[in-house]
Amino acid sequence: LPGVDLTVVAQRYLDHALAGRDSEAVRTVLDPLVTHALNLNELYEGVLAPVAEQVGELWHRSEISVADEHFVTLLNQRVIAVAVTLTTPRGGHEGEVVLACPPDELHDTALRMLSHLLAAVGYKAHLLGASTPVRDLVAYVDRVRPGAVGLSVASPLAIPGLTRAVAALRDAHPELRIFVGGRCATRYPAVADVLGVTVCRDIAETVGFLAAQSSR
Amino acid sequence: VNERAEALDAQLDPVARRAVELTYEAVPAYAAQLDARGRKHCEDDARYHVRALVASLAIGEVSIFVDYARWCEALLRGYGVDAENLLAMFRATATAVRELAPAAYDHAAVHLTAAEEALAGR
Repeated sequence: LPGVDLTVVAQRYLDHALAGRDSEAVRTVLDPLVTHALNLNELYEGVLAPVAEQVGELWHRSEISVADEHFVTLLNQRVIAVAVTLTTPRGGHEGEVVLACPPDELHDTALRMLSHLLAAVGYKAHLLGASTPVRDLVAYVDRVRPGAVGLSVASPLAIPGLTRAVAALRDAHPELRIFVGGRCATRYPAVADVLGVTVCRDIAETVGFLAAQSSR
Repeated sequence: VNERAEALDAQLDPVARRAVELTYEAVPAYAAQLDARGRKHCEDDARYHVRALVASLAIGEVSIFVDYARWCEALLRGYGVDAENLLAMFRATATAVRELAPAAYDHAAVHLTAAEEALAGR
């Protein structure tokens, strides 16, 4: 993209955020979104997702505190909430999809971004968020009858919850198509293989998966 | 997903508690340096280790637990916890699984040993 280096934008945003300059951080990413110097995919996949990953690594190396990590995560979520109000759905696709994290998975920022990206291209995305109890997930799917369910798993500790969620959805809706995303799903192909689900690594793969489904 | 993971998951808390007991027996100097808060952290950590092991067994993918062990070692190093104590905990966990969740033991031992070897740089 001419004039916008996503790596630079991400670093500037993170520097502001870790210094507690939340207004400056927000302007760093939302001003170019408003002026169309940055599009939604670039904001999410090129800026916020790498920032979230970097913040996790900084915490892991004890270079920032849990409070710092929470501050940036909440700031990311505030940016997403504002970005939702600044974009107009383009349409082009239709269908409903339920998005959730399985039990014990607390990282739902990626799902928030995915929900917005899917809505932006015409899907109705039902975002259930972090650590969704299996019984409630199934009941929700019973009610809205989506074309697909997407489950995000970043922590290996959430894999048992993911397996329970997939098994329960399969029992209740054998024909339901399920896709998984998140660091654990992409890092370990065996997760999808064992569970018999599809891995979607980004918005393009997710839209491809959903579009293939709707044409079946 | 499979009986091994389910067997261990059903005994998650007892296995974690037993692993802590065995670690303190094996490394009394470590136990002696822990105050009440430190012991609580140790118990919490043991539970995380067993949960990661359940995940690894559920998928049958050793690298899940090995990666977790590496991640954990780096995290604990930041808090001044020696890798030897983590290794002792993994060895204690293997014994606890053998005692309390024998149906999971054979596979759990493979995953735990792989993690020990990874941490030891072998």
